[in-house]
This record gives sequence, structure tokens and C-alpha cells, in this order.
Amino acid sequence: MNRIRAFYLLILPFLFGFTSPSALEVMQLYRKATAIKDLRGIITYTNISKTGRSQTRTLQQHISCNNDAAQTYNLLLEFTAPQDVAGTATLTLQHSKRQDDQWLFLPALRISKRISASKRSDRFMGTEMTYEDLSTYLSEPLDEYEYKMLGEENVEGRAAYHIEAVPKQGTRTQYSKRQLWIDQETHLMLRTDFYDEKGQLLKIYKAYDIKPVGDSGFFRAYRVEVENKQTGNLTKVAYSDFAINQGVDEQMFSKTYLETQ
Amino acid sequence: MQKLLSFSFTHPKTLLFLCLVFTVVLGLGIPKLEKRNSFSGELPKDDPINQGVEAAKQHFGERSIVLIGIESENCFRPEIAKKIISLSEELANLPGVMPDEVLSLATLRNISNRDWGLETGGFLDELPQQQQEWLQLQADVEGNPLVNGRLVSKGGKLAVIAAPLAEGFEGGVVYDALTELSEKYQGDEKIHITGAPVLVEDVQRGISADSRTFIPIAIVLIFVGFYLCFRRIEGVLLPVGMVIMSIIWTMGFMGYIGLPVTVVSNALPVIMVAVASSYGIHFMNAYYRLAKAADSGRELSRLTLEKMGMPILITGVTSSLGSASLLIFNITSLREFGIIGAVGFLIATFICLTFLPAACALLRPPKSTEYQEGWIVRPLQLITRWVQQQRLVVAGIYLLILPACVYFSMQINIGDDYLRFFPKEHAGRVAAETFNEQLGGVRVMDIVVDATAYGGIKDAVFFEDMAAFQDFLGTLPGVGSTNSYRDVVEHLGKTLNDAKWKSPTNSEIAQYLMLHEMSATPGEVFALRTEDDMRAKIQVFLKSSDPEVHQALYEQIQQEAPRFFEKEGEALLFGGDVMHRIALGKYIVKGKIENILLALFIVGLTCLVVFRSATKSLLTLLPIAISLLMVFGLMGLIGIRLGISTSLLTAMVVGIGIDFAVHYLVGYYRIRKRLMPDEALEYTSMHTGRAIAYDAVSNIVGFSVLSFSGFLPVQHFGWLLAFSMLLIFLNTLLLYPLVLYRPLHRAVAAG
Repeated sequence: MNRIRAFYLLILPFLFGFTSPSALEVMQLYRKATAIKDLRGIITYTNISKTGRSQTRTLQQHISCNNDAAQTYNLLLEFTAPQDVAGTATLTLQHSKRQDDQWLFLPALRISKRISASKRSDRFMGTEMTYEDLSTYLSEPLDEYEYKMLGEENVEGRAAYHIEAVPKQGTRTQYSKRQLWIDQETHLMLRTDFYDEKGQLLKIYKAYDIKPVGDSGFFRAYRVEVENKQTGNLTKVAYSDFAINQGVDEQMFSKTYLETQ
Repeated sequence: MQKLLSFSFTHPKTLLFLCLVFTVVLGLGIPKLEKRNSFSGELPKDDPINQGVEAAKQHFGERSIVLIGIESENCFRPEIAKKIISLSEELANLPGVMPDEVLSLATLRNISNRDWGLETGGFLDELPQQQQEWLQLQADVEGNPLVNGRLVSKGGKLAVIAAPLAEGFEGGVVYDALTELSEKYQGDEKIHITGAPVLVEDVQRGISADSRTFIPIAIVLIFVGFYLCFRRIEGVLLPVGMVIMSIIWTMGFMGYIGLPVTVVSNALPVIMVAVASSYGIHFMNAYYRLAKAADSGRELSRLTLEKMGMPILITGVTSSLGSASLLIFNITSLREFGIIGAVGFLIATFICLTFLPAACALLRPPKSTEYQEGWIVRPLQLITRWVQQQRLVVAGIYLLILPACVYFSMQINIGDDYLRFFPKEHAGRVAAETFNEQLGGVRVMDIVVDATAYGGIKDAVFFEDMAAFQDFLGTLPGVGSTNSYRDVVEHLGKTLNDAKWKSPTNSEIAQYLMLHEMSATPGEVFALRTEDDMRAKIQVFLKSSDPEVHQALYEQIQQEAPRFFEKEGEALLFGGDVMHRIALGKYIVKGKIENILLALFIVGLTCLVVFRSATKSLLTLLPIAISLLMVFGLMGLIGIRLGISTSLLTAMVVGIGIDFAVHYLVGYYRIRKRLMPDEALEYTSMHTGRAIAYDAVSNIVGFSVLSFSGFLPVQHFGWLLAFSMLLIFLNTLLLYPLVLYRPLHRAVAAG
């Protein structure tokens, strides 16, 4: 994979005539950098309220792409800490043409319950991220946005392309626009500014500690912060034990597994 | 002082110029005046209730909530649902509103059990289309105790949108925006706006409206009053000028030193009008009486000052000290008023004894005989004679009335009922009463329970204790409903277990709470528990706005709580705006008794110094003490509450009422040197009594202006003060002839 990246780095200047790539080209590179077949990892997130109090939870994530063309995924999220919620899990099976299927397993109930599919604007696990954000980070919907290159900037010491993404007519989104900063080296998202429907800055996503994931050829941010500028709430996320495209047991993404884990 | 006073008639033009300069300089302080309408900060920082409220705020933040209510026959209809959605969105965008914490049917997340599984989402994410869907929505609302009776009234007539405000919000901006929203969405249904910030803003606007109304009315009334007393243009213009200057100086002083206008000091201009005009009346009364004895204006000024300087100075100092006695209160706005009143009365005395002589010195002494003894003299003479002749009857009447006054004084209700600040038809009061009637109540007492350990509220034993305690709270009188994380756990437990409910285990509580976190907004979740799950808050909604009901409730809860929380350290903290009122009530009672004693002591001591006689000093206090008892008796009899505004009464009655006694006794002992006691009493009643009568009339008329106030406590204060002035006047006129009458002297003299 490193060879492919080196190839791109060598060949791109020739392809683009030594000029900066267009916004769409950068976004295509971004999508490529984030596209995965499967992923495992541990997420520790801390929600910090505007009063400064915090609450930390840890969960194990298993993600598997179930449709390459449609870029839909199966997701299993299982809490591992704190102890009293360990074992609580949600299973989501994304579909391209119908509503997602979602189940909740509470160890206290010992059975799983089907739950209505989360809406795109619903908060993800009580964090400042929404299901729409999660979906966009897994697979940027290139057809649904107009991208405009705003320039090149430095973000936390890294050279980045600054791009504006405005939803096309008919796109279902909670945002009026997003401003994106894509790392020129890894093509990962360094920062996103989200604007609400009224055009006001809503929240800022920032990625830190970008490192290669083993020798998978992929890079990932190991630390992320999302700050809601309107409410003052902050979510800090730390990732560890990433494994990309190492294969996951597809049996995991079933109601039976959920209840018998 | 003597030199300064003589300067006024020896250099009248210089003095008038200086007065003008001072008026301009101090007048520039008036625009600096600020208004304070909040009751927080009224209590001393070391007050235990105040400390508890502050500690509760540390854990759960300060929550000022505004409420919009949509009242209709049935809120489960498309047009009402659309209004709830739009109003929630618009409310979230108002400046000062915390957008993620707006609570309504449109924002609240619900988890409902369906045949296929769990339905999660907002109640109004998709507007129902069919009748069946509306019925399902109604059933979902009725099945969720976090909504039913809280955001939608039982029966569905009132739907509420609640919006917490961020710290530092601008009350005026929020109020205007809410009023605009309420007008915009007004239709067949009624839109109510309420909540503490709205009521506070109503008070603020009422204060401004009062100020704009009171001062002109009071000044017009004293114009008329002075003309009726003296029938001369200078007899009107000079004292009115003095009154206006006194107000400008005092309010400018307030502006410069940063004392704000409050619901209490709002009454100051009118009190100043009454007090300053009474000084002016005594001065001008003597000026006209002495007119024949002087050849020039300067001479007449000197003679008037010589005669009235001391009594006016004494009354000014005693009034000022009476007001200063309010400093004994532990309530900020009363202490502030004590300072303002003390300074203001001294300013009025100073202006009376400098400006009036200076102005009079420039005038020629009045020659005409238009200034008559007045129609009042004859009735005053008759009253005095009657008292002297019917001493036993008069004494008997007092002996009958006074015990009744003592009895009714004991029945006075303490504390301000905030809602009853406003007239019945006031929109804010109607809204609050509608919320009280349709929902669990609009006043909230927050009880923070400390579980003593990280995550302690997830402990099943603690949960059971909380549940039992909350059930107990629900049975207390005045409590409309209660709300805590227990309701969340119970609702989720029932929903996930097909409506079956059993006491949850530690892990069940933890998992239900996490489910709540995953589905609700942080504002919604952490309004009832801290992020570390160490403390839980019970919201107790109160239907009554009577501070005495709140006080009784607080005491009962404190007394009974230990039987629910036996573990050491499981302390309760009490928060919410009702707690400030409870503490205020405590200080009002304590401060009131101390204030009465201190005011009487200070004034008595001053009179002792001035008269150099303990008997005379006690005599000055006699009509005041009896009048006070009668006023308190009346308050108890007709149910006027002793609140912040009415607490001023003692200081004002003592401070201002002492004028009557001092003038009467100074006049009596002066004439007593030449006449027998009964004749001296009759003479004093006729001559000094006349000035006192004018003084009383000017005070009564002046204080009556306060009854035009938009606030009931200020109205009550105004007419009670006016009534007190009448009582002191009558008691002065009845009691002195009663106790100072010496028939033996007449017999000896006759013999």
C-alpha cells in the first residue's frame, strides 16, 4: 500500500500538470483514504458538559462493508466500560434502499430489542457526533455535494486543502454547509466546521495524532475532538487497537450473536 | 451649622447659585441609575439557605426557565402540533436561550413499546395524519410520566415549551422576543408566557411605569396642596422647588454611588415628596405667621429660621435615623433603602433650611391678610376640649382597641406572594395561574440528594430510598408533582419490560440511564443527575405561591428526610427560587422586630438628647408606638402581608411620624411657660396642630399616590403609610391632651 501511495505522490503532479488538484479530486482521494472493507478498534469517548463535568465510556467497534457499490456497512458497537454497562450493545445493518435495521441488547434484559432506525440527525451514543457525521466519515457522499476549493492552509502543523462542501438540491442533511480541511499527505480529514440550517457555525471536528494503522497502508486519527459551538459541549474520542481490512467474523452482525455473545 | 444657616439669608443669591450648581451636578447622576429586579443577592452570603442554593447551583448550574403555554380544548390537533414545532424552533433561536435544552413535545425523545420492538424518536418527528395516529400520540404522551402533566397537561388542554436561559441573558431582549412570539402565534387558542425571568421583567417594567406615573402625580398634588394651605404663588413655588431639588439630589446621589432602583426604592420619590413637603409646610407656615413681625424679607427669613430651624432639624435627623434603622435588616434592598432614606431626609432638611430662607430673604414680607388661620383650627380646638372633658371615655376606647390590635398583629402573614404582586388580570399572573391549574405547578423547589460516592445514584438501595422519599414528597400539601431520574428509570424499565415493573438492580439502573443518555439531549439528561452520577435532583413543583406554605413544606421535608436517607453524608441541598423567598421571610420577621425596637430606641434617644428629659422622650414615642400597633393590627385583620415593601412601614412611620410629636411637644412646652396645661394644650392643638394637620394631609395625599402602582405590595404600602399618617395625626391630637392634661393646675390657677 505504501508503494501505491508513493506512486500517487509521484504521478499526481504529472497528472494534474503540477497544479493544485480540484476540490472534487481531493474529496475522491479522501474517500479512497477512508474506504475500508472492515475495521475493528476500541473507542474511548468522553463527553464534557459546558459546566466541565465529564463522563467516559469505552466500547469495542466492529464495522464491515456489506455493499461496496452502495457503501453501506454493518456496525456492532459493544460497551466494555464502565463495568455496570459492559455488554450493552447496538447492532446496525445499513441498507441502501430501505431503512436500516437496528437492535439494542441490554445485559440486564438478557434479550435484544429491535429499535427504530436512528435518524441522521440523532446523536451518536450521546456524543456531539450524529449518525449523519458517522456515515459521512465512513463514506463521503460525493454525489450529494458541490465542492469548492478555498485554498491551502496549515492545520495544527499539517498542510491541508481547505474545501467547502455545499449540499446539492434534494440532499437530506442537517447542515447548510461544511468546511473541510483535508490533510495533503494522508488525505484524511483534519478539521470540519459544520454550519446549521441557518448558516450559523454549529460545531467543529478536529483530528489529531494521525498515524499509520499497522502495515495496512491506511492512516487514522487516533484522537478526535468535536466541540459544539452553540451549546459549549465537547466530546473527546480516543481510538486504539485499530485493525483495518484484517477480516471480521460476519456472524457477529446478527441478532443471535448479540444475544449469545 | 448656625453660620451656614445664617449664610442663607445674609448671602441669599450666592446660596441660590450654589443650590443650582449642586442640582445640576447631582442631576447628572440620575442617568447613571440602574434598576435591579432580581431577588437573588438580597440575602447575606453566609445565610445557610443561600449557601445551600449556591451549592445546588454548583452541581446543576443556574437554570432560569421561560415557559410558553398553548392553551386550547385539545392539543392533539395538527394546528396545535405545528405551533409547538414552530415555537420550539423559534424559541431555540432566541438570544439567550440554550438551544439544545428547549423542551417540548417537538424536542423531547420518547421510547415506546410497539409490537415489533422499541420506537425511539421525537413525539412529533412526523406529524400524525390519521385519527389512529393522533390517538397513538396521545397514548404515548399519557404513558410517559416525564411528559404527561409536565409538558402536556393531563387532559391535553395545555402544551408547554420550556426554554432554559444561558447565564448572563438579557431579560428585556428575551421578554420582547417572547411577547413577539406570543402575538405572532396567537390564534383561537391562548398563548401564555411565564417563568421567573418573565415575571422579573414584568416587575422591572412596572417599576419604570410607576416612576413615570408617580412623580408627576405627586408633584401636581403638592402644587394643589400648597396652594390650598397658603393661597399664594410663592407659597407653592418655593416648597415645590425645594421638593424637586430634594428628589434630584437624592436620586443623583443614588446614581453616583451605585445604589439601584428596586421594587422597594421605587417608592422613594413619592416618600421624598411627602417628607420634603412636610418640612416645607412647617417652614412656610411659620414664615406667614411671622410676616407681620418683620420689615424685610431678610429679617423675616431670620425670624422663621430662628423659630423653625431647631424643630425641622430635629425632625429631619429623627426621620433620617428612623430610615437608617432599616440597616438592621439582612435584606439588601431594605438596607439600601435605609441608606437612601437617611441621606434623602437629611438632604431635604438641608435644602429646607438653606434654600427656603435664601429664597424668602429675596422676597418682600407678605402684607395682605389672605393667609387665614384656616377652617381646620376650630375642629382642632373642639377635639382637644372634648378629650379633656371625656378623658375616661377616650382612655376606655384606647383600652378596648389596643388588645384587639395586639391580637390581630399576631395574625399577619409573612413574605411576598410573588404572583400577587400583580393585579388579577395581569397576563403574567393569568399565565402562572393557568400553569398552576393545568400542570403540577409553576414554582419549583429543587432538592439535590448526595449519594456520597461516584456513580452512587445507580445503587439499587439508594434508588429505593430516593423513590420512597419522592413518593413522600408527592403527598405533601401544596406539592403538584415531582420529577427525578427515578421517573426516567421507571419509565424505561416499564417500556423495556412490557409494562411490568419490579425494583431494578444496580446494572439495570445503569443501563436504563445510559439508554436515556443515548436517546436524549445532554441538557435533558443532566438536568436530573450530575455527569458523575453522584448527585440526583428532585424537582418539586408547587401549586401554591404562598411563601408560608413553602416555608412549612421546607421545614417538614428537612424534618422527615433523615428517615429516608440513613447513610451518613446523604445530605440534602435545597435550590430553586422559592428558597430565596423562604429565607427572606425569616429575615423579614427577625428584622422587623429588631427594626421596630431599634427605630423607637434611636428616635427616643435623639429626643432624650434634644429635650434632656426621659419623660418627654417617652412622650414623643407614645403616638408612634400606638399607631404602629394599630397599623399592624389592621394588616392582620384584613390580610395584608408583611413583605419586603411593607417592611419599610415601621421605619417610615417612626421616622416621619416623629415630626408630628416633636412639633407638638416643642410647641406645647414653649407655650406652657406662659399658659396653664389645658390652655397650652388647646393653643398647641390650634396653632401647631394646624401645621401638623397640613403636614398630615400632604403626607396622606403624597403617599396615596403609591396606590396607583402596578404592584400590590407598593399599593398596600402606599395606602397603609397614608393611613398610618392619619392615625399618628389623630393619636397625637388625642393622646397628648389625654396624658398631659392637669385639671389641678386649672383649679389652682382659678383659686
